[in-house]
Amino acid sequence: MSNKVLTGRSISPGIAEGVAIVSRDPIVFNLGIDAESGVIVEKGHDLEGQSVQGKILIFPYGKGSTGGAWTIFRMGLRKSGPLAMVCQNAEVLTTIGSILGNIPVVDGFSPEQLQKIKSGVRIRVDGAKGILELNP
Amino acid sequence: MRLNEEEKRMLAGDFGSTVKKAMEILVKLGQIHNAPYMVEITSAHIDGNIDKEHNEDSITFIEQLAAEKVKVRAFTTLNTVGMDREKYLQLGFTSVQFDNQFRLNKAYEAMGCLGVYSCTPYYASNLPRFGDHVAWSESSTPPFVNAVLGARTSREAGASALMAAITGRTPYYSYHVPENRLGRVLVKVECPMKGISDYGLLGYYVGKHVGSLVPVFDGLREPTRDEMIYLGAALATTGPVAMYHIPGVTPEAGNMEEAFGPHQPEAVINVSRGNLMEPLEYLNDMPRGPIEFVALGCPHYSLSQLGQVAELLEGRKIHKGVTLWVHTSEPIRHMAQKLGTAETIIKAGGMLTADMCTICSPLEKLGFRTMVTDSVKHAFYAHLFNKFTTAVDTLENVINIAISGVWEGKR
Repeated sequence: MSNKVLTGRSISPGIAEGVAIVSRDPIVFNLGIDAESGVIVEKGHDLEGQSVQGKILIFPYGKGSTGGAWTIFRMGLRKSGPLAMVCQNAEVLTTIGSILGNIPVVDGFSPEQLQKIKSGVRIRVDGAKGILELNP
Repeated sequence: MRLNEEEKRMLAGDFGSTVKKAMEILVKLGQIHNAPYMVEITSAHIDGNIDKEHNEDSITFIEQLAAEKVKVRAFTTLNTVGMDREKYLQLGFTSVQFDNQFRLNKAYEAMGCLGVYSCTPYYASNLPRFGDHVAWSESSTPPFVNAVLGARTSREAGASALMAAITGRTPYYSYHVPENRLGRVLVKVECPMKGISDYGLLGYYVGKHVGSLVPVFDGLREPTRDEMIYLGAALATTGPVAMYHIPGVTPEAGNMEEAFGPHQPEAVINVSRGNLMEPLEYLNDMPRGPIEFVALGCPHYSLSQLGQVAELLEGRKIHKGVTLWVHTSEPIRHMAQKLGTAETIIKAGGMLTADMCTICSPLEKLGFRTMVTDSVKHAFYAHLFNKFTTAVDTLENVINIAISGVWEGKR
């Protein structure tokens, strides 16, 4: 497949490369994901039972309790969560959790742009530049 | 984003790595919301200081900030915690370890945060002035700060309020900007309103229908300060509401024209008594019959509300086997003890608690499954966090239920 670069907005700096895991549903970081294993545990979530650990997590936005910032922070510190995250709009909890936890994050992509990305595709994220590269 | 010299130095790390990181986060939040610059805050209120929301890493992180001698630059108060620091054993939490909660309290206090441990910190020394820029978390506080006081805060998260407290800054966006404070939706209240439970029901209904737009209430007659607190708490329970106007009552709207500014209402919401009762279909789902647990004070009761409770309980006894908790802050409890209010509540068989948020406490350890309350916010979160069934009624009726020990069913 061809290489493609998408430009969004820088949220949290850092560079990471890995395999995409795509969530169609928003993510409740507080209690919706197990910070040790990176497994999504929210009932009925489209990624329920799947782990985002060591992957590039693509999702619309975070929702629910802002305590979720501390979950993202923990995953960043322990390297038990995603290598990087890409979303439509990073709200407060995603922004704070990722900057404190040193997880690269870019946002500012449309739902259509994100829907075209399939789980399993290789992605490179440059958090400081706000870009993501498909099939780098 | 335009930064002044001091803010640039914070970002460059001249004040240490924590202040640098905090400023990085605030700049990022500012950029996301197209804020042109930072404003200095006069106070902060931090939630998310409850042990249940934290983990070993985040607690260690907060402790490290304290160890690095990071100090808050603004006057900062702390929100409720998961227990009464003084009386948690008396409340029955004998088998619960609160070590993590005490670690968090100690670390936040070492940074200079004032441990009022209350969701109504304005009753306990944190009272912004009209026009002040502040950074307040705990969802019930922005409607009070913005609408009732006329000070300015966005809907902060606990962590963003902490960053604002550390730097003394917040991005100029959201409700800091006068334009964003103007009314957008007209709410016509077509039924008489009385007491905090009615105002809670109104907020619950309107919060569901108004989205993130600022509501302007027509038809409310001189609500009390307590009623406005419960209105705001409910608005922020079902919607992301942080501002409202009651023309002639709240300080930024002398009349309808001032409330809407140059705009016309984008929508009109008519509220009948039937609409008010709608949320009770969901919130009054407790099985009828004997009750076990009654909780008042969400948000934390004022001294005048405690006085009402004492008046209703005077010379009476709550039913044997029923637990009644009345929640407030430590300073208000102290005053209630001086006034004899506390004694009346305790004589009747109730407990006057300080510091705590019921639904964030380890209630499951006490075996409760149901709760009777006068607060829709309380009932909503008891469903969500504790998987409780609940009954919501007026304060008078809740006290009567506590005394009879029986709930007769839907209102």
